[in-house]
Amino acid sequence: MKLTLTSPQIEYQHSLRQLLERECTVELVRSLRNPDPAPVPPQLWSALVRVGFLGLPFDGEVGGEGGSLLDLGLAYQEAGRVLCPTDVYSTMAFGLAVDRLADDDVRKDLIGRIAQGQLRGTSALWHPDGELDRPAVQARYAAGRWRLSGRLGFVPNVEASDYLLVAAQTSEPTRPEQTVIVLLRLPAEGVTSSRVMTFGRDSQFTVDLRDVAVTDDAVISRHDAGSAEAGSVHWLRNADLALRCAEMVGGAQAVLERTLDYVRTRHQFGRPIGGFQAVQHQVADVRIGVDGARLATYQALWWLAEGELAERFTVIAKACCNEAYKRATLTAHQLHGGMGYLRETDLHLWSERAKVTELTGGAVDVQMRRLAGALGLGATA
Amino acid sequence: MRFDYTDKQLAWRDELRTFLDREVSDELLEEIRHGGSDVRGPLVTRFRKAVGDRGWYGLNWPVEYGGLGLTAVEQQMLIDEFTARGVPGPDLTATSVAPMIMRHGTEANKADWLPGIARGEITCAVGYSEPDAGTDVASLSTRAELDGDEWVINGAKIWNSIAHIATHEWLCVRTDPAAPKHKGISVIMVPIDSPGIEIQPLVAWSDLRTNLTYFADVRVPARNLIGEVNRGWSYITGALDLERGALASAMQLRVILDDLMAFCSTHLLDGVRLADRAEVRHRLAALDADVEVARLLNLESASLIEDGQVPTIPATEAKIFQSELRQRVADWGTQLLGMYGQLDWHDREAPLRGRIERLYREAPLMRFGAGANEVLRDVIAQRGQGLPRHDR
Ligand SMILES: Cc1cc2nc3c(=O)[nH]c(=O)nc-3n(C[C@H](O)[C@H](O)[C@H](O)COP(=O)(O)OP(=O)(O)OC[C@H]3O[C@@H](n4cnc5c(N)ncnc54)[C@H](O)[C@@H]3O)c2cc1C
Repeated sequence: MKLTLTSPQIEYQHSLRQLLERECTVELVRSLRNPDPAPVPPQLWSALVRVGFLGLPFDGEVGGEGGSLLDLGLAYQEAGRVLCPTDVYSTMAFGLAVDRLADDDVRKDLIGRIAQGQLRGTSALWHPDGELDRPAVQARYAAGRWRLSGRLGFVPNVEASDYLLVAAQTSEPTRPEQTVIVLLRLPAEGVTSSRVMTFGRDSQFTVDLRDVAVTDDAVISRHDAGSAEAGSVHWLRNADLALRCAEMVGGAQAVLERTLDYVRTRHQFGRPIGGFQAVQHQVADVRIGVDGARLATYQALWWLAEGELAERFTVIAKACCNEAYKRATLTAHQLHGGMGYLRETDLHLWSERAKVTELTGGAVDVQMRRLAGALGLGATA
Repeated sequence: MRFDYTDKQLAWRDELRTFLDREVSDELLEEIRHGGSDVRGPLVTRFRKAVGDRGWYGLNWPVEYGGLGLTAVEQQMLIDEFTARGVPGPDLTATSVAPMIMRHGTEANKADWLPGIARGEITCAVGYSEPDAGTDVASLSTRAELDGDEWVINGAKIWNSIAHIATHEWLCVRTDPAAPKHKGISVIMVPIDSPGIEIQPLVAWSDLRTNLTYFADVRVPARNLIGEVNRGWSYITGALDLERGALASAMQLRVILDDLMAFCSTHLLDGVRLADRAEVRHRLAALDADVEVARLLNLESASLIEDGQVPTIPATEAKIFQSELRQRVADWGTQLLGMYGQLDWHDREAPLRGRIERLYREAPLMRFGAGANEVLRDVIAQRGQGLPRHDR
């Protein structure tokens, strides 16, 4: 038992931080916002390839770097600090799912291209608030083809993605319902998307599938509830959640640092406002929240990397991160006064991201429902 | 003590509602939704005139100053009814500036400004804050010097809301730089179109426009100084007390919460009726209790004013409680709506037309504006409870 990072891990985070501060500036972050976002610049993407970010959690034999999920989490933490474009997260979530579910040929093909920065993907394998209910898409089998129909809400970055990985519920007259995971090459006939207008001005879409025809090759997994493969989807959901948590920890740390810089230099009543006890207490509370969230997140990532479902640890991490990131931003607004409330001073970019990451994968009530389930208190996960 | 309106007050409420039924059109509401409180379109202007024609901006002023002689409770009722309909009520010019002119102004001040304010023709930007004087507003440094029978003003005001649509600036200036900081401040009414004033826009997170206003050798007549020279600090603090009272109307939160409860009870999101979830019901119920308390704190202030008292402590409590509650309503509201909580008003599917999302962006201002909550907590502990002062 040892809760500190190794020196290579610290060094990796450090070099990534320098790179991202250079390549992912606030001006860039702004340019990617709705209503008419610019595309993510190739320069950022190639920088991420260069440092091995996009191949980090995958095996060497499929073209990855052979790192662990925790290593990827450390990278997410750095990405979260600078509000890295969410295309990175959706592509990595897609890659992790392909890596876990697809056969070797597909893995080698797709993972290799992800690691090289040649492919972007997104996925809709569970409800966007993290619930693993029945998929919203129906799959009918007829004349040797699957036909998919349904509506998916809040799918990130569809329009910039080469692939969409989607879960669907089979409905075949003669067989019990199963879940199929289908790999769709985009654009695909019958798939339409429309951008939703969000608080965070990020790229999320409502995706409609209307009789989308695919062959059996596109089905990378077909499984029953309770099967090992269903367990894999559960693991993927938790891994995605824990990685998001790492992003949130990084964002919260960046906000805390910004706030400290400000209260050290802003003077009122003839002294730095950071000298007031009421200010110091708020800063201390943010710090406590962020450190708790960071440890809970590392714990979840570590156990997930060990192959565990880590249901309880993941949920605890998400619940902590939701509050910690949000509190960091709301406290920052209070301590910055008018200066933090101006659009041009950028703080709001983090405040919006904190809210969006809180809602995505489930706000605290969702987490508590799941935690009660994990504790055997009655409700189901 | 009485927790219900009197017959006379109920008649007043009916009068307000009849007026609003007649004057508030969908087009007016649309103009407000798109513009926000920093834009004064033609329909808002017409609406304001209808209010001014009735003398309602000065409804609680004494009759001698052109008021209707009604009380703070009736003013609170008007603000509540207007807020419930989503239309602008009396602004700070009527609720905060005018009472200070009545209390401290010279006879010339009263004659010059009060009639126009009562009719809604004079609206003031409130110029307290400066880049280096925010919470510590007494350290303001915008200068006014007397040159013959004119004041000559130089300096800058930040967060100078509505300067771009106001007719005047209720401007706080330093008139005696040698005096201790609270003793050298005065207030001057400055026509906003005076030569030497330059107004630059600043855009807040809430989308609201505020301003950075520069004053370079701006000249105004000596009679525009309010009350006595170098006595301005007590006028400002009095006006700020009233401003806090006006900001604290709980009605906006009541309306949003009622609409949120209705939404959770009637709409399906992804096939779920939100009110079927126990935790949703509990959160809505907890918010209901707090909004009720906020309403009571407000009404106590209004009642004290009616009794001729200055409700510093209840109004301060109301400001703190309500500004933090506002943040909580917005925060919990977005959470209850799940992924839909992030949709803004540009999206057709946004619940409550994105009002919760907007509230989340509006909420921070109330906590640090018009007296930071930290400092106001000191006020309650020290002035309200008699605890020793700590060094500030
Ligand atoms: C959109 C908007 C509109 C506004 N409209 C107007 C207007 O029309 N007219 C006008 O005059 N002003 C206006 N304001 C200004 C507003 O009242 C100030 O922002 C407020 O007084 C805080 O000042 P500041 O922003 O300089 O923050 P600062 O004074 O720098 O304070 C920042 C934070 O420091 C902390 N702090 C400061 N002093 C203390 C202390 N003694 N003890 C403990 N903590 C402390 C608090 O957390 C505080 O929130 C507006 C502001 C905004 C953003």
